[in-house]
Amino acid sequence: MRILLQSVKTHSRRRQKGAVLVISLILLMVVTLLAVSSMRGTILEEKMAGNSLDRNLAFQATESAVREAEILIEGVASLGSFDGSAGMFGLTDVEPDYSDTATWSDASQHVVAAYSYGAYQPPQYFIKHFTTVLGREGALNMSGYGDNKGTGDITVLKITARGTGGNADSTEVMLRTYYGRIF
Amino acid sequence: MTMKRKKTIFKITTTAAIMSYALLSPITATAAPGTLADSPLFLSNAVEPNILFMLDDSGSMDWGLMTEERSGIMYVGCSYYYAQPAPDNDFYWVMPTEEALKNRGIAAPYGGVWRAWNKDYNRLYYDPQITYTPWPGEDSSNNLFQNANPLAALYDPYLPGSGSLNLTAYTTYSTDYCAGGLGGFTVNNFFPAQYYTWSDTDADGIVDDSDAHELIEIRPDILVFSGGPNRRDCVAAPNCSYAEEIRNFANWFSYYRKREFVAKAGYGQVVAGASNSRMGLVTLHDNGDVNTAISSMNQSPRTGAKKNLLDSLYSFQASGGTPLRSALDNAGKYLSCESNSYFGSCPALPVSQGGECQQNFTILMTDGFYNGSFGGVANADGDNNTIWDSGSDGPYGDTKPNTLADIAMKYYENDILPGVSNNLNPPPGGIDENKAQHVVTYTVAFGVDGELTAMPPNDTDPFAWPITNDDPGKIDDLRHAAWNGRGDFLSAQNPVQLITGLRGALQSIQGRVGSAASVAFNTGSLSTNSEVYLALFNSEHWSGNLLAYDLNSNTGAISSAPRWSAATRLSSRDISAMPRTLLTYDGTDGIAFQWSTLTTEQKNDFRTNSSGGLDDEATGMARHGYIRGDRGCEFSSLSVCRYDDGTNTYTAKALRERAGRLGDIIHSGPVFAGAPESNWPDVAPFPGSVGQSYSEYRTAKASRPGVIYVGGNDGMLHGFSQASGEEMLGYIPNALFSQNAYDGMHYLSDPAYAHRYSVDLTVSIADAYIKTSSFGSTSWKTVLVGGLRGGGRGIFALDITDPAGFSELSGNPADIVLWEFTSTDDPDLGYTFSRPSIVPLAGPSNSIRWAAVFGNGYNDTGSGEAKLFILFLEGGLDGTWSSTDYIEISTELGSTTDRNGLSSPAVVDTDGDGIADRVYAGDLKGNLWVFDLSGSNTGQWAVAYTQGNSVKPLFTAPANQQITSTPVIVRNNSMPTSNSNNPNLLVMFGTGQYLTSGDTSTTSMQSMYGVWDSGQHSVLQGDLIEQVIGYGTSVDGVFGRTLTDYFVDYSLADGWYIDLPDSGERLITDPVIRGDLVFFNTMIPNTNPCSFGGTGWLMVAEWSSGGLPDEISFDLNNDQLLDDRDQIGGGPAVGVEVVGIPTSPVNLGRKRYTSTTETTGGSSIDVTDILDPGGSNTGRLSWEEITP
Repeated sequence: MRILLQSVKTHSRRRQKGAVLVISLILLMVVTLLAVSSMRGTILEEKMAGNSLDRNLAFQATESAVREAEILIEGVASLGSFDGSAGMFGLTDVEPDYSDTATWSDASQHVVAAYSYGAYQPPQYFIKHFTTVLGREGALNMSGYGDNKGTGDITVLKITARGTGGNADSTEVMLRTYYGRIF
Repeated sequence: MTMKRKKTIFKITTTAAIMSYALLSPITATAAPGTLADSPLFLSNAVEPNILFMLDDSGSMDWGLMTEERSGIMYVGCSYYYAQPAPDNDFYWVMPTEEALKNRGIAAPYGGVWRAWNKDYNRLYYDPQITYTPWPGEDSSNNLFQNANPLAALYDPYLPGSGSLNLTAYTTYSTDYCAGGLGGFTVNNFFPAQYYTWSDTDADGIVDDSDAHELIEIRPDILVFSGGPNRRDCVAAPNCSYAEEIRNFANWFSYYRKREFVAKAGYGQVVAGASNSRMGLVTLHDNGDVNTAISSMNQSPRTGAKKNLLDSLYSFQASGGTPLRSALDNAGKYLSCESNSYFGSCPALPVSQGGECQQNFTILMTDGFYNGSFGGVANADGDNNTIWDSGSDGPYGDTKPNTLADIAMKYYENDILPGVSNNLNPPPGGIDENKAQHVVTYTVAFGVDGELTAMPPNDTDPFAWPITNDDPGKIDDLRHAAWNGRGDFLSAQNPVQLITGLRGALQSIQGRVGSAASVAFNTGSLSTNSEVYLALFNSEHWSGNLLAYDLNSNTGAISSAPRWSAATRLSSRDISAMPRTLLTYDGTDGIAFQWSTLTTEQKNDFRTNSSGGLDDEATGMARHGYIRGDRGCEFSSLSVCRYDDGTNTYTAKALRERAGRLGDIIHSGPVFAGAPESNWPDVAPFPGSVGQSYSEYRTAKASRPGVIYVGGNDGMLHGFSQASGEEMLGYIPNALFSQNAYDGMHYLSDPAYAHRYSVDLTVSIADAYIKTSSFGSTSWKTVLVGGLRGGGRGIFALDITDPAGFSELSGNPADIVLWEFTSTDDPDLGYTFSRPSIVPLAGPSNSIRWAAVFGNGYNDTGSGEAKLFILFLEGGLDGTWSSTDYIEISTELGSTTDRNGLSSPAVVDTDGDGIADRVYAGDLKGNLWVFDLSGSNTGQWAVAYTQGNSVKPLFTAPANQQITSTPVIVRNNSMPTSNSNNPNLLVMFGTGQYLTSGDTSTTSMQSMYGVWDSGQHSVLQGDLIEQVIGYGTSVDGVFGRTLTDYFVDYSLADGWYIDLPDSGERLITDPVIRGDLVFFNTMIPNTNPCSFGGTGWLMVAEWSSGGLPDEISFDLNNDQLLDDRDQIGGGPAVGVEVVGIPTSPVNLGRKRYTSTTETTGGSSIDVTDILDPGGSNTGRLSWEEITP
């Protein structure tokens, strides 16, 4: 019994000479660590690329909304519809605060653009009649009431647009341009 | 050989004749431009329609009853035909009175004989609610018809010797009563001036013999007679005095008692008031030889063809049967120029005088119950052989042949002049759409309906026309004839309705409506409250209108219906409750235009009659009242005409017929004045201190009520309220008054009036810092300066600062009227065609002298030289024009034998200090003059260019190129300004003249010019680069013009020009600048009598070179897009042709609004998309990203 016990003891001690397992385990651990850490980088890069795409999407959508607003300005014959409703604000109307989320949820405060270009929701904008500046020099004839000198004052309009990316809680981009037109 | 020789000799003779004529004739020698036209040249060839009046002169027309019984008479046992005894009545046929029957033992209700004297049963009888007026014109002794004398009312007013009846005394007459078997007996104690009122006792709506009735005798012991609201001859209407009532009754008795008299009154009113038409009269039997062939109507009913026609009308006597159908057929044959009709002649005008578009009308008046046999037209309205009739089930046709309706259809649907081209232009929107020559038939009956009481509801659905042969069926046939003939069935219940209906019929026939003045806006850019104002004329009666239309703030489109019509407002105005504010000038100050305040000279104008003699004051007051808007004394007036000067009274109703109070507006464009619009600075020399600066004035007057000022050819300048269209001010320039025949204010009320211009120039309005009375203080004022154009040689100025204060009350007229300047003050002032500019000029020690600057106009009575006038606004306040009050600069070109004239000037501020320093204006010799007003020393103000001692123009156009429009000046940005090319301006103007009747046929080449003012004078056409107009068609098939695009090198050339290639084409309207483009509208007068006015081209060019614009400049194909489809030949189109003579282009937003002589309302204004001016500060100005 003793012998058996000893022999077993002796046998086990003697025989256990290599470190293969340990090394293997260590290697495994290293490889695992390597794999995990490289995955993290990839995931991070993927996340970064996704965010960049989202941001780009939002930017392009916003830019398209600005263009749309400019086309709208070019399309109207007068500022008659700039009455403070539906996102078009006249000279005396109070311009909404672009940083207030209510501005972009209240339908009377903004216009929803027609095209979303892949964004999660279509971009929005509002236009404010900012000021009127003197146009180019027209006829030099000194004129009286009702005489048209062909100059035309330039109406300057401020466009504020907001666009978002591909999903609900993604990034938002806001752009502002000033646009001049002679009515 | 012989032939050739002969021809040569003839040529030489002709040339010699022309030469000697030119040498001898004073007119040719003294006149450039020649005699100015007195009416719009584009109207002179309007084609007069043929109007054939057909009168039923059958025996029944003599009767004095018109009821719903058979033949319109009354049966009480036997037939009665009259309600009043007269020698020309047949013996027994006068209705006996109730009292006479009672005395003869007849029991009530006496057959209801009272109804003969009741207007609801006998529709011809005296109606106390109607004002009866004498026939217009003269009786057989050539005296104007007067109010009838109640003590001796004529039986036939045309024949003064026809005998008379005392309407205020008992009379007797013999008659019969069949029912009671009484036989002939005498009615005693008949009081002629009587009528019955009734009440509908049994409430059946019918005047029954037993209904309650009351006899009203017009006796002096009755103080108040019940007239009605329309009794305008009664001072206290609706109540009338005995004198008023008996006068009205006497007029009824003499002028309206019988069917034929009502017909004479109705036709007479229409003929007397007619002009621009050819009229004739035919009757069924030609009793008394009255048939009158169609001839052109002159204005006065007392002379010429019109008097001849009225005499025929008034002298016909009714007798005989009623062969109405063969007569209507004959009328059609006559208008068709068939030989076997009334006259041997052909009434149609030859093609050279407009036969291709002459309209024809038959107006048939009858009591309706025709007889006689007729055949030959079959069932013309039910055979469906043209697009104008239908099958026999309607709406035009029936199953019955040879009816009046068939005859009317025959001459409507068939081309009555098959050899003549079909160029008729029926009034748009009407039911008459046939372009072939045809006859339009109107029918008039005496207030009795047949089975039908209305026309079919539309012209498409089947309609069952009654085809009975009885009396109601014949009335229905009359209605059917008017329906088929595309006229109207005038079922005149009373004389007033008849006359109104007939005049309505003729008014739809005559008159051309158009616009010759540019439209105006109340804003400089399109906004929610933008409006457009359109001035119109109507050549019939020379009426006019000013219409205000809303503009759609998103599209710029003009609303379909006007917001107000100034003519309607003015005509319907109660001028006694709301008197007009009319002012004039007495030579030193403004006065109210009231008889009591007028000067003796002005009163004498009104007292002047058509032969130049002086009438009494009452007549003058009547003519003055006419100008103030009283229409009571017009020919066909149904209201009171009475003017009393204490000695004489005027009641004649002999003044010219008008269609309304507002006269024609032709060349005077409307100008809106609301909030101040001038752009004066607040820095010296302009007042800058608090309380005096212009910006404060702008703020203070920012909500001033808007007024639209427009000159009318009714003798006055009008100011209409923007809010309501009500007239707020009228100004009658003193310069218009004249004591010569055919002139002055009195001529406007003369029935022989032929059009004259009066206040025909577009006014100028600007703000100026001036005194408005000699002793007043200086302050900002809004000043209006107006002229007369072809209306006379005068300029006037008004202070319109405060429209709310316009009134005739003491002091106000003097405050409002500043001054007048006429050829009496300086004979060098011609007809004031030159529109003034109100500008600040440099004064001594850094002050400002405010002045009106204008050319001397045409046909002056002075030296004949073209001159520039500079009138200081404060100069005329004292009523005299001394040598320091105005400056006159002569171009030294022109003479008393060859008169020149300076056109409208362009005043320019070259250095941008707000003070005017240079003036550009053209003359009739084709010279473009420059005047230098830059210094404060008025002695140095002169023509800018001289050579030695003589003055020189900037530019001289080739021969026969007159400059009659205003130049437009821009800075020449193709060249940098330097000392060697100062002032470096580009002067653009067109050439051509359209002032005299000879100008309609001239075909000299005219041009559009852009001349560089670089300090060099005497530029000629050869120094300019020519751009050439071409023609082409767009992809949509729109015909238009193109232009070359040659480079203009200003170091080598002095500008550019474009010849206007169409024959007769010219440029008489002002060019307009917009961005890089110049818009100009040319005109081509039409010499074809069937074309109204003419045509024109709406043109555009790039002003820097006169060549092709870089971008699409206007919407050629009218699809509201500026795209490739607006190209011609690969480049932008530069011109499109319009029908009608266009006025100056007016731009608002991206739209060009052009009215033409074809413009009849807002919807017919040409609205075209044009290119945005662009330039710096447009498009995207900045970009940023923002973070919330």
